[in-house]
Amino acid sequence: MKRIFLTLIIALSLACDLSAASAAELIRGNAKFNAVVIVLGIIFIGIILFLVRLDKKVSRLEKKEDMKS
Amino acid sequence: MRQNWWKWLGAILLAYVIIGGLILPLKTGITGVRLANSSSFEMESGVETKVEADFYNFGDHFEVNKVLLKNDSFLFNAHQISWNPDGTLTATFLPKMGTRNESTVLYTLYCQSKNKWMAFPMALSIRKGVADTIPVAADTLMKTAIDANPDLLKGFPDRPILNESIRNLLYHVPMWFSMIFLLSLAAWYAVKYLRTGNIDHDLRSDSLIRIGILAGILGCITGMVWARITWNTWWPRDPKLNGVAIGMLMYFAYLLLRAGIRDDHQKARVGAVYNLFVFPIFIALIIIMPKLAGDSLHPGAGGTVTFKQYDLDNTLRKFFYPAVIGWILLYTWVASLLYRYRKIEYKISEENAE
Repeated sequence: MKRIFLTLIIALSLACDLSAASAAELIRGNAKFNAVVIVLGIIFIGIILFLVRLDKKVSRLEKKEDMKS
Repeated sequence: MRQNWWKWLGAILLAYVIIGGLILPLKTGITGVRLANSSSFEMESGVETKVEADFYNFGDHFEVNKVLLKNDSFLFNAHQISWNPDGTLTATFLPKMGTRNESTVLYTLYCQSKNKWMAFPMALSIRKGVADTIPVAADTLMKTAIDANPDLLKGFPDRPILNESIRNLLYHVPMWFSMIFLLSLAAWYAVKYLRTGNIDHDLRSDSLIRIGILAGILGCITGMVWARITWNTWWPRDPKLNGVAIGMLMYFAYLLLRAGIRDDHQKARVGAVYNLFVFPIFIALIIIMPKLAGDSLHPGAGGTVTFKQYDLDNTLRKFFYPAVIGWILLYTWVASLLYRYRKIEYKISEENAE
């Protein structure tokens, strides 16, 4: 989990620096579309990460129930 | 299926918002204004000056038939407009400021293309001179024409600095709407728990808070990325951001508090009381305090209660309201999954205890 977050943060800062690289493009406004893509990606990853965690918890519960019966 | 209609509604709304929000182009707009052959943004009164403007997203038949500089009291018409080979526009002004004006004042640059007006606020300033003053009444007709701003072209508005990233309004902002919605619902269930002592209400309340915090974290990160790309800093000076940071810490403390108590009912009771204690403070921190503080990058701060016309135009509105509803439904769905899991877990632990 920690490793995922760390890679996520590093990838994020890289992506932001890359998209902010060209000053001329930034003034013209084209580069800012990247912000939208990154934002959508973050939300998607955040919700998926939560679902993966919930999935794991449910599996653990299922295993416990199987052991009992 | 009949019970799950709101989940489908949420999914459909989000599909509409994400696809439409990414595909729809930006309207033609002005992205930059400067004095030609100079790095200054200040014009001298009574001196003929050439002004250059950059445009964004203009098509083949794009033409500009009027360029003006305007603020609340003065208006200047460009007497000569010409296109440069690189796609920029040069307009020549002869500004004349009277003695009524004490200091330099900022002007908005307006361009008229067919019936539509584009604006670039705070484009240039003009230093006072001794020439004639143009009376306010003379431009009243023009002013109403601009303020009416007919919305003829389809597309999202092009705002300075934001440009393409204005689409983030549909993805970053609803995170906070969802968070506030889930936390209010959690407070409601906390009241219900305290009145009835039914642990089921506590499970609902706790699940809602956890997903609310998830939405808050995502809202924080997306906001930081947006700020990095548009304002070039991860954490701009903004009362809203600092208020949210404190509010989030208070809810983290809620998680710690609950984790520290072993007995289920005691945990629920302390959690509900703390929740009810924190919720009004949180609302005060993120809604009331930024309003009192004044300057903010966020709309709705310092004066306005609702969205100003300038903040949200009609095209954006068609996507923004579905986005808010869609994201709220999605987060409620996720919270209900967590709640159902917690309920089963609780039942099993009860059975084991017996």
